[in-house]
Amino acid sequence: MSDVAIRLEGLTKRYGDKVALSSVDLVVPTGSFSAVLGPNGAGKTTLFRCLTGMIRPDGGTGTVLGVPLRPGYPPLSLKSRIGYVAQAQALYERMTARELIALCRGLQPRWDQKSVQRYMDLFRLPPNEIVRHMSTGMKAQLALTLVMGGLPELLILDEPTLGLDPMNRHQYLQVLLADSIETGCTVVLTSHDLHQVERLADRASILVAGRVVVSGAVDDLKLNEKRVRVAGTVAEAALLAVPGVRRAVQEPAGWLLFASGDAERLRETIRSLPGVTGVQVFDQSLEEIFMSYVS
Amino acid sequence: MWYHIDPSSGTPIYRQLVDQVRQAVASGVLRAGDRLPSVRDLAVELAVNPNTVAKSYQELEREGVIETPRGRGSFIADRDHTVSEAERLRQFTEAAEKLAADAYRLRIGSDRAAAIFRERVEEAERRRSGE
Repeated sequence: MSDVAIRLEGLTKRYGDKVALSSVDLVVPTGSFSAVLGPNGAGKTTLFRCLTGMIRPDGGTGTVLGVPLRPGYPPLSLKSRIGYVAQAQALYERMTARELIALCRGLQPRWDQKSVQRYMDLFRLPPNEIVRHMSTGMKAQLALTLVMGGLPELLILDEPTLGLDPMNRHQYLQVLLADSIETGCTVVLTSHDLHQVERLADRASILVAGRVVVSGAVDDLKLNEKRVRVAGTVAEAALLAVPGVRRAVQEPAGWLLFASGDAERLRETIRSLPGVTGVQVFDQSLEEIFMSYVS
Repeated sequence: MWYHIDPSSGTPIYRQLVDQVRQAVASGVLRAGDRLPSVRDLAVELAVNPNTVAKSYQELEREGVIETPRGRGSFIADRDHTVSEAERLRQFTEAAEKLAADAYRLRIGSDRAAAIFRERVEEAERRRSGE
């Protein structure tokens, strides 16, 4: 097995004049738990649809589980290796869970009925209830159950825990983690719940207006992305000239900076600017890093 | 033992785990020879990425807080044994720096700070010897 599950270079997708994805580069290591983050409309779902072959990109190259993205993608042999849970999962509303399982089982070359049964029991899903009568949370649990039955090597989840209450969400994620560790399955997910992502993901990419603005291991992002409080009277231009400083926001007693780089170096460089009387460098949570790039 | 993960804090999660195990050892909640859960089990229980848990165990091992005899799991190490004096001093100086910054911020003078600290150390020693 290759050590890279997904590699994208310069992936581009336009809808008329609107650029949905603009030269997206992305590397997802095999077996990783990677998050794609971004505000609504940033292109996350478009990206997932390109990966699953539901839409065709206008430009760029890439491979998914070793299969190149090119006309005819995805070959049938690849389809069954990818499990995709869409945001508004289109389950057949009139069917019962049991009937849906039978349907999916018939469509998949590989099927693990045991794990499906385990999921049904764990989530306490009623097998004879029709989908229309299920809550949003139950539908999310059923969608995961159906996808995991096909023993995917790559799992793509678009806002998978939407509609689950906190207890059920925790359980859902535990199950997902346990099984992906067990099977070595690669997970790519998007979520607006950044605290959840911070726990689960070892890698994160932030997408803004179709572009990847920052990408890497979550621990590296946290090591590199700092908030800096500067006291004193100093010109904005001088602060923005410091390598790594992206943005400066005026505060009553000085400035708040958003910066990338080594904390000590930032502290020393900024401290040496004329007019600066104090510098404090703060760590940021993934949510704060996200906000610093998006707002 | 129960771990509290705070994803809204800027502190990386692996660091939070390291700090909590260290504190549990310092306060006697975890004792030499106690077994930690496997990386997989703790990751699933906390719904935290297994690499994060593995990283915290590596750090704890580097600091000499835990031992991992091959393939037999992770155990709280016998204090003093595994860690060199230089490493213990390094860790303590790091902790003291943080404390000194707090003392300055809260305007606690050095005599007062030292007195409070001495009291705590004596209390910890009493608790330990009473075991």
